[in-house]
Amino acid sequence: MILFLNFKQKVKRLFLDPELTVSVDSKEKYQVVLSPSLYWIKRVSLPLKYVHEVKKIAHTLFEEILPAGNYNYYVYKDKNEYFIFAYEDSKILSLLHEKGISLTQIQGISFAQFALNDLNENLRIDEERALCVEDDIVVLLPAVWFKDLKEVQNDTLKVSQQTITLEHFSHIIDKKTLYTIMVFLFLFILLLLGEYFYFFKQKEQLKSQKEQLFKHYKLKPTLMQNRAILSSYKKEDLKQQKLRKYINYFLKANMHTNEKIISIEYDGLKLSVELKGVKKSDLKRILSLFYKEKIPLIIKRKNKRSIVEVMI
Amino acid sequence: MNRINPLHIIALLIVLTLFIYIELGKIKSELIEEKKSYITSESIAKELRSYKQFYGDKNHVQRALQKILSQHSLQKAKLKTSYTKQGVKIESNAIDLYSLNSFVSKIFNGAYKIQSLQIKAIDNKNAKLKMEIVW
Repeated sequence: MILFLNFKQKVKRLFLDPELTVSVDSKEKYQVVLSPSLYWIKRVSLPLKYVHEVKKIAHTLFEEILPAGNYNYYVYKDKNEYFIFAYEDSKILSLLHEKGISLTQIQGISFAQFALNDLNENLRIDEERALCVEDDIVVLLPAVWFKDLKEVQNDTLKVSQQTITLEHFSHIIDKKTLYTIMVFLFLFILLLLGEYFYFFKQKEQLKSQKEQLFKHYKLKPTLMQNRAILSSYKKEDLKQQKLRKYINYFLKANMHTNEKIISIEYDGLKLSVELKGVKKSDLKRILSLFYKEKIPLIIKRKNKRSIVEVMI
Repeated sequence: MNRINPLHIIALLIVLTLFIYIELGKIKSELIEEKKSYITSESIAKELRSYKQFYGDKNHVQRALQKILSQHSLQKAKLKTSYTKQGVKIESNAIDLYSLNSFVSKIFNGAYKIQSLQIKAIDNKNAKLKMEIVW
């Protein structure tokens, strides 16, 4: 028996700074901690109750402080104060790409503020800079200001629940526009769906009307059968009309007193009329109506009698 | 990074929009076809009904024929009628030309399916008649 065991993959911490080189294993998952050089932080007391209210006005609090760029804001409430973070998604994303970290490898992204806020001693991150906590805020300061600095270890970084989600195109299109597009598309879909169901209902109504029509007129189940029946009726009607018309042509013929019709025969296909006392040269006069319409005739002569045959 | 990207939702909505749009086009053309089919069926049904009433109604043909045969002008002709499942055979060994003309013109002006016809002159005043009408 094979026993399958699921091991929970351990998430590694990674301190991300533009100046630091990192070694990344493509099979590993990382909890990324942003260096203070990747964000701006402000601690303020505001007469506002909720985080989302502060988030709305966050950009005004950083006015004239931030360099030009497309910033996103994260707000965290601690007792009566708000910690407001400003960061550039595109800058962090391009740095992650530069360091060879794929987005699928990232479990979460948090600020150094949350990972190191309970730092008891200052940490060196490279030859020139050190991480320190000044007035409850994690900042970067010149390393030369401190003595006996310990190196920052990725494994000692605290995993925080306060994470941010990077927006890929926030520098091109803002969230509000994205949501507007979403709402517009959603409404458009609803409209299309409404139209679809309206047409669907109409189609179903027509179908049932058609069924009723078939019942009412006692039609055959398929249109093809009905077409065939109709065509046979039309054919027969045409045949009957032709028969009546041709017989009428003979009866209306300009005949002299000695010229007579002595028999008319119709067998369902062919009409034969026997004429008596008609010379061959006079046939043209008698059959003029047929010749006028170019109706094909078969003329037989027998014992001074003429038999005119016409197909119906 | 597990949160759904709004762009992915937009892409999904666009795909959904396109899909519904295509389906809408399909149902529109289906509806047009259904309308055409209904109009065709209706016209076929009406035409068929008029033809059936004209040629195929056995009772109507029988009643109309009976009315013609019972006319005074045809009483003398002594026309023999024999009914079958498919129709009726009308015969006379000697019918005068006046009655013949009256009978034939009535039949020709009416809605009768003439299957066969035989008129042969016996002399200057009489003729032999054989006619088969079907329904």
